[in-house]
Amino acid sequence: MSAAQLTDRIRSFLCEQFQLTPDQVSAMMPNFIATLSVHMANLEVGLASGDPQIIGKAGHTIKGALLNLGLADYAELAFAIEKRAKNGDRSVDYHALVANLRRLIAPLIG
Amino acid sequence: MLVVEDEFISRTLLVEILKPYGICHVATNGDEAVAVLDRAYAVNSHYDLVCLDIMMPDIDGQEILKKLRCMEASRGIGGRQATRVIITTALDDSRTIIEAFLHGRCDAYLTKPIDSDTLLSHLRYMQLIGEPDYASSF
Repeated sequence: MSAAQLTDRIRSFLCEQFQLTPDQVSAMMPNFIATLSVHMANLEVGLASGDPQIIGKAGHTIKGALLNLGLADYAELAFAIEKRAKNGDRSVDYHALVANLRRLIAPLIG
Repeated sequence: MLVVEDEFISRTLLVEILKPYGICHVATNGDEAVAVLDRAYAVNSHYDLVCLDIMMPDIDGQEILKKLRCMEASRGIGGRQATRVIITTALDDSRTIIEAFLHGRCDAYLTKPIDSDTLLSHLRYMQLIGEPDYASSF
């Protein structure tokens, strides 16, 4: 999905779900995208630490953000990371899962 | 009203929904939430509503809920004077929700993505806000 498509999808969701005006959404979007970028970076820092609990917490945070932006399908992936990491599952290729999540939201956060 | 939520996007959206209905304070973590609630009681005030994220990094929502109910109990506050609490959770985690209802006496729960209609209908049911003014549409 292109950056424009993703942005439109989020804008439509925010207007409908939260009864916000297009102007309100426009004012919020830059901060929301910057926040998503920070959440993604935190997840990658957690990944580098190798500590499943840190990965799990970062996965939880980005999951909540993605859900409230209307990106439920991406949130599913974040939830998979969170759930497995919090269960201490070391058999999972977290690098692949996190890389996949970054690929999905890269059009938004660069 | 007090929104307790560590995640910026979720917090901002909750405040946007609530702010037409009154002053809306925020706490970004559990420690801050407990301090804010404590300060309100210290000046003989209290929050009518707390929207509480159940899973936060330091003190989680369940713990805050317990502390809130202890603060109320120590001041003899209960019944209709008690703070209404809506917990927010990112997943439909029934065990967490049941615990919040049973032990924390929360009043409602919302799963993310937050739905503004559902939140506002809870507030109307709790008589924290009035019915929408449809008369102006005619």
